[in-house]
Amino acid sequence: MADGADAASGNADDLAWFTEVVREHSTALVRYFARRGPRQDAEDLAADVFATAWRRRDDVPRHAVLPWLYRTAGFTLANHRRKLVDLPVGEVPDAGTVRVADDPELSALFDAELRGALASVGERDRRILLLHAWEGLDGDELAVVLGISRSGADAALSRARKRLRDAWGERLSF
Amino acid sequence: MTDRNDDELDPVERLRAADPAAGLEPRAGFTDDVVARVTTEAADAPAVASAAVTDLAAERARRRNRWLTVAAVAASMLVVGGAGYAVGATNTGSTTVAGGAAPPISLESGVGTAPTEMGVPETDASAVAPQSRATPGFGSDRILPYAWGRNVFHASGLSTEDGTAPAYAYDARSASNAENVGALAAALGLTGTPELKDGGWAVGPQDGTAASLWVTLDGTLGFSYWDPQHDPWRCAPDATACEPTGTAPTEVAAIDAMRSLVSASGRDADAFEYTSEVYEGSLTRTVQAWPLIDGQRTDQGWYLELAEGGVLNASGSLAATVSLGDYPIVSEQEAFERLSDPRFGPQVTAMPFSAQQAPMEFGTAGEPPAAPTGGTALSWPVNEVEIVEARLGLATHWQVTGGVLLVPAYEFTDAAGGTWSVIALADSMLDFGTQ
Repeated sequence: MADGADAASGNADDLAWFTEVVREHSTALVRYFARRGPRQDAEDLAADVFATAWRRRDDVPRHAVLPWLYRTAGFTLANHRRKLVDLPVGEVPDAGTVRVADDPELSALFDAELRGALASVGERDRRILLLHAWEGLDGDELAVVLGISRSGADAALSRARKRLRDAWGERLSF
Repeated sequence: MTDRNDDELDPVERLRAADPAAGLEPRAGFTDDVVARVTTEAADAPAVASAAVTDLAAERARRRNRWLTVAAVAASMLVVGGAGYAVGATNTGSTTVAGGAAPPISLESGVGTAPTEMGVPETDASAVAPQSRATPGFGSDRILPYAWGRNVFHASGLSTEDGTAPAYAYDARSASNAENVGALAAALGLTGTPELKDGGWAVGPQDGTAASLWVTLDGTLGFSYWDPQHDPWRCAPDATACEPTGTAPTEVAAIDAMRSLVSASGRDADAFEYTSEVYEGSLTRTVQAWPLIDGQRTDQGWYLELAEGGVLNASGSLAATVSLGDYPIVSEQEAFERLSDPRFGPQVTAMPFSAQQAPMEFGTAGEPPAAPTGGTALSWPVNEVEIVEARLGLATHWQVTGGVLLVPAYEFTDAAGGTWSVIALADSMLDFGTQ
């Protein structure tokens, strides 16, 4: 930690690093939240994640910033959702098929067949699939975001993809 | 590891195409607002303090009747606890326990995602091993001149002595049996017999309805465990409010839980280094256990996430490492020369932030950039990289046949603080053939 005399220059370096982090990853974080909830909340939530990154800047691994941000975003989103549970569900396109309280991330998805298949794979697999398909994560990055080992992440992703294919296949055969 | 299924019928591709935020950008000024917000906060914002444990005995007594239903051997380890390691006290939410062993060296960087520029050799990382995206964090849609650009290397004073260094292999096959998997499952509180199917061992339902363990038949015999019952965010389906309360477990509790698990798998818990993290707003705490070999961490770590009610998820590698004896290695100088050899690299593994360029912003003045005029020289940046330090360590290498080894590798540090890795094995130990 910086001494008194070095605090000013230490903070300036931190600020330069932080500014770069925000500039580089703003789009990714805003999209993350816009994919999983109301678009009007996305920037505020992204800003919250960056504020956390500043407070916890000593812990952010310099070589894996984005996965750390995504992981923090997951917690930020969970905290945010529990405040939304009591809101009315008037925003849902197909009221009755998907309740906002259950799957807020799916309400942004207008492909009804896909939404149905995703709804049936379970919350954990869905989370992995969205991180893979929309955030483009796999391998070590996915492992960091999920907080599990690399081989665990590979296995979890492989199973999630298989389950989605199975659920998809079932929906198509009627 | 791309899926070779027909893209049109693959629901993952359809999901990708259905991205509701495609093309979305934050409003102009977003970055400035965020930065301004943190600079108006107190200059020395207090970091999140890790839970200070003042009474270890009381802590263990409270813990004794919770969490893991451990086998008898592991139970004795749980009770003994603290004498074998020291808890590092810092002010941040993440602490390192014991030693401070050297970090693992990574031989592969995120090469596969970079766009290619003229004159830059395109190395196809997927030809090396299936799991080739080793180093997280590199921006995937940005041109990073430091890593992908044209690099010229300089060094002086590197050792010219070659020699030998030990190498190791992960022996997954010996560990892959119902007995081992069963012992791990029992330590995690699972009843049920391990079943071999779908490319792995399964204990418990694999559909997420209850706690389950899965062991993959890969080169490190990786396992993953998940108990949805302990997810603090799991609420009743018809609940009107989801308000999980509680606190994240302490670092001591989490590390003890991890040590018990490591011991239950037949390993020596003292041969690992432990780090623990708790995120702001989280009701769970994560622990990582890094196996130590020759005073260095290896990157096949174990993970465990602990909630107040028990272990939420855990993963690791069940394969033990076996010594392969000593392998001939090249000198530091020869390894340095490999940085300029297209057969080897260079693989940058850490990049100083100052080397990353800010994204070029066009059109901010309301018109496109000025046309270059005749006689203009092309911008053709070449990075001069000065290597100042070399370290011999261990790196994980995946064979194309699926086996996994720990091999000697050099880590070079440059004057700007970036690191570059090169395999240290002599040419005689490398099979350069394809297929």
